[in-house]
Amino acid sequence: MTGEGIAVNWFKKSSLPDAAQLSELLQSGFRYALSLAHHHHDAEDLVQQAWLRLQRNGSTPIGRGPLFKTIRNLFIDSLRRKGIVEFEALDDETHLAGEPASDPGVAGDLEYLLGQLKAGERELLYLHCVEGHTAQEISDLISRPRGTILSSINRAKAKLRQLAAQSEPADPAEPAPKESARP
Amino acid sequence: MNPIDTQIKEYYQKQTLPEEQLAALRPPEDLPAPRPWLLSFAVAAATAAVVLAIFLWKPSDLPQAVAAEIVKNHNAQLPMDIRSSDYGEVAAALDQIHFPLMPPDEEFRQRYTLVGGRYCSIQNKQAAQLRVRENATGQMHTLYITSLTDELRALPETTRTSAGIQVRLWNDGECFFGFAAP
Repeated sequence: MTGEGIAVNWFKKSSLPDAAQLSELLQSGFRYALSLAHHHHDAEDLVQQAWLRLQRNGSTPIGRGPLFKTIRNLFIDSLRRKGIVEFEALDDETHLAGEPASDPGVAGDLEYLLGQLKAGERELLYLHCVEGHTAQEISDLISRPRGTILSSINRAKAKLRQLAAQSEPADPAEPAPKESARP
Repeated sequence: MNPIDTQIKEYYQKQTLPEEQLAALRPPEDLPAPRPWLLSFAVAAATAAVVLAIFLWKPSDLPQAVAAEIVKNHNAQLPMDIRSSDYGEVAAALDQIHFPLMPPDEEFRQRYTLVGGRYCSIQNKQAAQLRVRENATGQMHTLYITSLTDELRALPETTRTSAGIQVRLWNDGECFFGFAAP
């Protein structure tokens, strides 16, 4: 996806001709909110508040860009109210870390492992792995250097692997990846 | 895309906004404004229909309805509000629950390890959903606990299957239990 592509996805994709696309947009907003909050009820509240705020402001039809942006702003506001400052955790001075040559994925409860990451790290993983954005596109979106985005994504993945490895010996009964798909 | 990317993608794609939330956010259809008398008539008719339904409706198969609701909750895979293997800690975290959050019996406690819990509901009554791991197999199961209503008290112990998942329903005279086993 190019830098122009991201603009289309985030800031210009405002035409929502049918209910299916509207549902898709809301589901996408919910998943993005979930990547930030890592809590279903909070994510539901975030997407609902964002949607209502955009409607109140007369932003119709509502596009993906404004929706994500509003969700992000609401989430940061909620952290500020709680006195939490973990979100702005990207470090501009970090060095790029390469992906491991072979990536076997992580074993264990992914929901739990993602919960151990910072909101900003989950957000990057979501935008990169689920929305399919490149580091440059994410860099344009959240106004951080591309190198920082790249290293932060790699660092977040490395952290996930490390957490998974740490949890394995402590919890030998934890079944393999299939397990995480079960309640 | 490497495996960890795929795992993350699959995890988030499984998460969905509940249908009722979606419906609430959808804009209403553009309809002409109803005439006042027609609106009053519609409200009166709807009220009468609801009252009639309350008096006449009897659950045709309450155990199956409860089992289906439990299976729906079980399959939703919603995140837990508290992760702990300690029933006391889970009960303390779910402080809106006003019935004991305890394993049904000692055999259950020995056979399954608590993983965590969350709020849920059964038949519109507040309930606790506890995720447990079977020690012998590592399989995850869910235990539902709610307070007894007259209807639930009257249900005999039974095992039902819904969507391929077995659900055992019973009560101990104080709480109602549902246990979903894949």
